[in-house]
Amino acid sequence: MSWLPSYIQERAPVYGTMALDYLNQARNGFNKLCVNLEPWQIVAYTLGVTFIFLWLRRQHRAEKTLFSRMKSKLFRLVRKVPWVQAKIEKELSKVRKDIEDSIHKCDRRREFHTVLPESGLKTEDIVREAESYQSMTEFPYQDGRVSGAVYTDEKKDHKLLLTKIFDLYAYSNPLHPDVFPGCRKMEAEIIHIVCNLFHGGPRSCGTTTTGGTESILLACLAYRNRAYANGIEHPEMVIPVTAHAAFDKAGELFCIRVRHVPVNPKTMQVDVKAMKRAIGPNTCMLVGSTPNFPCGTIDPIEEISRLGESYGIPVHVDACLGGFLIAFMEKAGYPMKPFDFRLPAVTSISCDTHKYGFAPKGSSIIMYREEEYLHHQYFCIPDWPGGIYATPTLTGSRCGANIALTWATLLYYGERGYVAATKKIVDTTRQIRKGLEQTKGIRLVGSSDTSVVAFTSDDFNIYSLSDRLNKMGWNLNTLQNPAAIHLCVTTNQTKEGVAEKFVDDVRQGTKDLLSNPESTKDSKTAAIYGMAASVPDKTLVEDVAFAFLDSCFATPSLPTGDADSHHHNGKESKADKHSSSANGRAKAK
Amino acid sequence: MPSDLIQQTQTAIALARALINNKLESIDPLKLVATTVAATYLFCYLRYLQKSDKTLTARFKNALFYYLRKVPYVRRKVDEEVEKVKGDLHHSIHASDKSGHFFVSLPQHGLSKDELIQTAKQYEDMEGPQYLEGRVSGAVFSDEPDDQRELLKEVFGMYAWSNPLWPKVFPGCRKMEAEVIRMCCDLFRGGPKACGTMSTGGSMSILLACLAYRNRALERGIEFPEMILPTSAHAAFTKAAELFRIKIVWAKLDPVTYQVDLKAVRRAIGSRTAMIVASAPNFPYGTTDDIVAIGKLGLDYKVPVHIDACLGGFILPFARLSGYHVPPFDFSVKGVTSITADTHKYGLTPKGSSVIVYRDPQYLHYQYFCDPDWQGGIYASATFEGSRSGANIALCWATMLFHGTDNYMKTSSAVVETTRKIRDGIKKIPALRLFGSSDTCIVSFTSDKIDIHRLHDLMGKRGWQLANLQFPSGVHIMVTLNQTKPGVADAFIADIHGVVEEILASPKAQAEGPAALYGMAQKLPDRSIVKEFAYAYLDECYSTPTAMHNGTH
Repeated sequence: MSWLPSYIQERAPVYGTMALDYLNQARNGFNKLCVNLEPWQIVAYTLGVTFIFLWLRRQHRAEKTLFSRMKSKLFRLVRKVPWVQAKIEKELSKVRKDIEDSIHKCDRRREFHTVLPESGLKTEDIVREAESYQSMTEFPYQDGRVSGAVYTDEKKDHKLLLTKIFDLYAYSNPLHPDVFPGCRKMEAEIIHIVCNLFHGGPRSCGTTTTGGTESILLACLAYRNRAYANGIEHPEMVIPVTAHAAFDKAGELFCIRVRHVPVNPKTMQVDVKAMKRAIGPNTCMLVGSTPNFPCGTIDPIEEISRLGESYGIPVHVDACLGGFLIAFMEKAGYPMKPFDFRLPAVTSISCDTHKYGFAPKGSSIIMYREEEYLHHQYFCIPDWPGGIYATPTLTGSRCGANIALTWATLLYYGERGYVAATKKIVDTTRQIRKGLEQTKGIRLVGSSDTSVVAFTSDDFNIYSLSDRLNKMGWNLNTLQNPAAIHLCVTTNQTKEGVAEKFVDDVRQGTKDLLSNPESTKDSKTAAIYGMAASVPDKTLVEDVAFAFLDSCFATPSLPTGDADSHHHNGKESKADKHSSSANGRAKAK
Repeated sequence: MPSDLIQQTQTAIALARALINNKLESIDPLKLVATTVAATYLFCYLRYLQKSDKTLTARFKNALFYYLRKVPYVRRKVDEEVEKVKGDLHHSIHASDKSGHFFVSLPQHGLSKDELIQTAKQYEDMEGPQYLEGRVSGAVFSDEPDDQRELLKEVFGMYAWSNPLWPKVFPGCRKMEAEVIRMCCDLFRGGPKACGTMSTGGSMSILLACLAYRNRALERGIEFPEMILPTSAHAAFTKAAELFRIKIVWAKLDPVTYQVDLKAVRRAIGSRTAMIVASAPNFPYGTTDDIVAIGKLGLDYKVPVHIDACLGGFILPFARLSGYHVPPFDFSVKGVTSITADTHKYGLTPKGSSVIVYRDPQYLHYQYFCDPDWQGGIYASATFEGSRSGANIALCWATMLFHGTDNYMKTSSAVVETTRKIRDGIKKIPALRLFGSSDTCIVSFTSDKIDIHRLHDLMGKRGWQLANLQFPSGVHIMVTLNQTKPGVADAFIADIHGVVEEILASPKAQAEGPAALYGMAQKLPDRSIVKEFAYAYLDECYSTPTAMHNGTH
C-alpha cells in the first residue's frame, strides 16, 4: 500500500471503518424490516422474487421479445372467438380464391398429373408437354418486361454450351469428391475465382450454395456458432431494416435475435450511429448490403467495417444481388468506394452467381476472409454409425450440375464479358432513373447505386400504378414500409427500346392516375398491402402469404369440364389395376 | 372425511412451518435472503442446462478437452497427428488430378464454347471409381440410359433459368412441382389433404421436417423441444438438432434386428417431445424400423411421427406393388405425419431433388416462412431457399413421367433381388456377420474374427468403393441400378471371398488409408479432434494446391 499517497494512507483505516459501519447499518436496517416476517416467509418471498426475476430475464433475452410473444398469443386467443373466427375465415377464403385464380388463370387446361402414370410416357410426349407448360407464361421475360427473375439474355451459344455441360455432369455430386473429382475441382476453382474478384487474400475461402438465401443462412449460422464457441448463450445480429429477408429467416431458424437498424429515409443507407447503439455484448455480426434489394442503395460499408473493427465484431457484406456488378464497376468506368475484403473487418461476403453472374438458377457463393469463420459453418458428427459425416453447407448430396454450369458460365464470360454487361446494365439503370426523375407525380426512393430503380408517389397510391403497369405487361416488385415499387434492371432491359418504353408506360400510367384518382380504388395489390399495413395481427398477413404458397402447390381442376372427370377416371382405373397386378404377383411368388 | 383431510393437511403445514422457522431462526435474515437467491439462481441455471439442447455433460466434456488441448505438449501432439492426416487426405483428394492446372481468377477473355466443353470433358475423365460398372456403393443410382439422358438434355435446355419463386413468370415450373408433390402423396397413400414441397436433397427435406416440428412445439409453449431419434437415423437429424436447437433423446437399437428398440422409444417420450423419427430404411444397416408400432406410439402420446424414406421412398411402394412383403410405412399408418423421400436416389433423377410430404397442411405451414414486414414486400418462402432451381424440378418431373409405375416396379425389384443375392453370398462366409436383415437396398455387415476396416481397404484396392461404418465397426454396400447389371453381384461376392481369405492368411497386417483413419478415429476420446480431421478433409476439397493466386492456366 506504500505506493498510495500519504493522506490516503493515513485516512484509509478511517474510511474503512466508516464503510463497514454503513454496511452494518444497512444490514441492521434490512434485518429490522424483516423483524415481522417469519423465516419461512423470508425464504418464500425471496424465492418467488428471484424466480420472477430470472423468468423475466429469460424472456428478455429470448429471440422474440416478451411483448411480441404476448401480442401473438393474445391475437391467437382473439381468433379463437367463434364470431371473429367465422369472420376471418370468410375473408380469408375470399382472398384464397383470388390468389388461386391469379396463379392458375394462365393454365387454361388445368389437367394435372396427380398420379404416376402406369407406364412411362414417351420422350417426345414429355418434351411436348414441358413445352406447353412453358408457354403458359404471360410475362415473356426475354422482352425485358420482368423486374429481376432472369438476369441473362440467354445467348444461344451460351445455352448450347450449358446443355452440353449439363449432359456431362447431370448425375455428379460433390458429396463424393473421389467419385467426381472433376466436379470437386470446378467448385474449388469457382471459389478461388470469386474470392479474387472481391480481393480476398490467400487465406480467403468459401463454398458454393444453392442460392442467395442459403449463402446468407450459412453466414449467420457460422457467426452464431462462433458466438456459442465464445460463450455467448444468446447471440444477436445487427442488420439494417433494408437487409434481405433471409437474415430474419436465419434469426428464426437458428435462434438468433435480430436487431433492426433504421436507415436514412432519403438515401436509404443504414444509419451507422444507430447501428453503433444497437451493438451489445451479445452481438455476433453486423450486416451491410451492396446494394440492398428494396431500393438498390449501397450501405456505407467502410463505416460499418470501422465499427466492426473497433468492437471486434465480424461484418458480413450481402452482395447477393449486386456482387457481379460491383466487382466490375470500377473497370466499367464507375468509381466505387471499397466494399470487400480490402476493408479489414469485412469477414464474409455472399454473392449470387445466378443473378448477374448469369449462371442458371441454383447457384451462389459464400466467402470468408479466413478459414476460422468457414469452420464454424462446417458441420460434422464424428460419431455417426454411418461413418464420420461432414458437410460444408446445409445440404448433404449436392447438385454437381449446378456447379459445373456456374463454372462454365464464369469462364465463358470472362472479365471482359462481365465488364461489358455491367456497363450496359448500369447505364440503362441510370437512364431509367433520369427518365423517372422528370416524371411528374413520381418520387425516386434511394440512390440506385447499381441496378435497381425504386420509386413511389406522393400524389396517389403507388400500388395502383403497379397494377396498371402489370396490365401493360410489366412485372415489377412491390415494396412496403414505405410503400414503393421497383424495377430491377437485367440484361433483358438493356435491349433496344425497353428502357424508353418503360419510362413512357410509367408516364402514361401516372398521367391517368393523376387525372383520375378514383381509379386507384380497385387495386388488389393496394388492398392486400393496405390490409397488411393496417392490421395489427401479423399472423393474418402470414395466413394470406401461406395461402399464396399453398395455391402454388395446388392442382385445382376446372369447376366443371370433361377433362377433369376424365382424369379422375384415369386415376380410379389405375388404382384398380395396381391392386389386381399386386395380387397377381403375390400369388405367383 | 374432507374436513378431516383438511385438518390433517393444516397440521402438517403448521408443523413444517414450525420446523423451518426453528431451523432458520438463528440465521440473519440478510444471510437468509442471500443464500436463497444464490440457491435459486444455481437451481434455475442447472435446470436450464439440463433442458437445453447442449447437455451439461456435453458442455463439461467440451470445456475439459478445450483446456486439455491448450497444454503445449498435447497441442503439439494433436497438431502432428492432424498434419499427418492432412497429408494423407491431400494425396487422396488430388491423386486423380495430374494436370496441376487450376483456374484461380477470372480469365481476361471468356473461353470459347468448344474450349470449355473440352476442358469439362478432361475434368470428367479424371480417374475415379467406375460407378457405371457398379463399383461404387450408392452415389449414382441411375444407370444413365441414353434415352433418359436425351430427354433430360431437352428439358434442361427449356428450363435452365426457371425459378419457382416467380410462379407467374414460370407457371410451368410451378405446375411441375405441384404435380411431383401430388404424385408422391399418392405414392405414399396420403389423403386429399396430404401436401408438401420439393427440396434440393434428402438433408434439406429432413431439416425442413425437423424445423416444422420444432416451430410447432415452440408455438405450443414448449421452450426446449426434443426429438426422439434412433441411433441409426441419418446424420441430417443431428444437423437439424444443432441448427435449430432441438435436444436429441437417443433411442438404442435392438442388437439382433437393428430396428429401433420400441421400449426405448416409449421411455423417451415426455412432455417436451416434438417428434419421433423412424427410418424406411436407415442408412447404416438398411433396416426399416417397426413403423406400425411407432405410429401407434405417436397416436397414443399425440406426438408427430416422421418417416425418413429418403432411401426407400422409391423402392418400398413399388416393391409392395410387385408383391414383396412390405409392412406399411407410409400415411396408411395412422400416426405417421410426414415422409421424406429422395427423388434423386431411387427416383433416378439427377442430383438436387427430394420431397417432403405431410399428412395435413397444418404441419406444412410450420415449415413455411413469412416476413410480413420486410421492406422488399411481404416475403414468404416454402423451403429454405428463396430463388430455387426450376431446372431441378423440371428434370425430376420429366424423369418420373418417363419411368412411370411399371419401370419403377422393374428397377426396384432388380435392386431388391440383387441386395438379397449379395446378402445370401455374405451369409455363407463364416468370418462375416450381417447387421440385421439386409433385404431392401443395403447389405451391411461386420466381422467378429477379422479387422473389417482392412476388408474395406482391400476391397478398395480391388476397385470397390464401400461405405465405412463405426460404433460398431462395419461396412456396407448400397445397391443401385449399376449393381443390378449382370455379373456385378457375383464379382462382388467373389472379391469379398478373396479378401476375407487374404486377411485370414495374414491376420497381423494393418489397414491403410481412410480405413485406417476410421480405426484410429474410433479410439480417440476427444471427438473434436475427429472433427478437425473432417474439416481438414473439407478444406482439402476446396483447395487448388499448385497454382495458388497467380493468374490462370
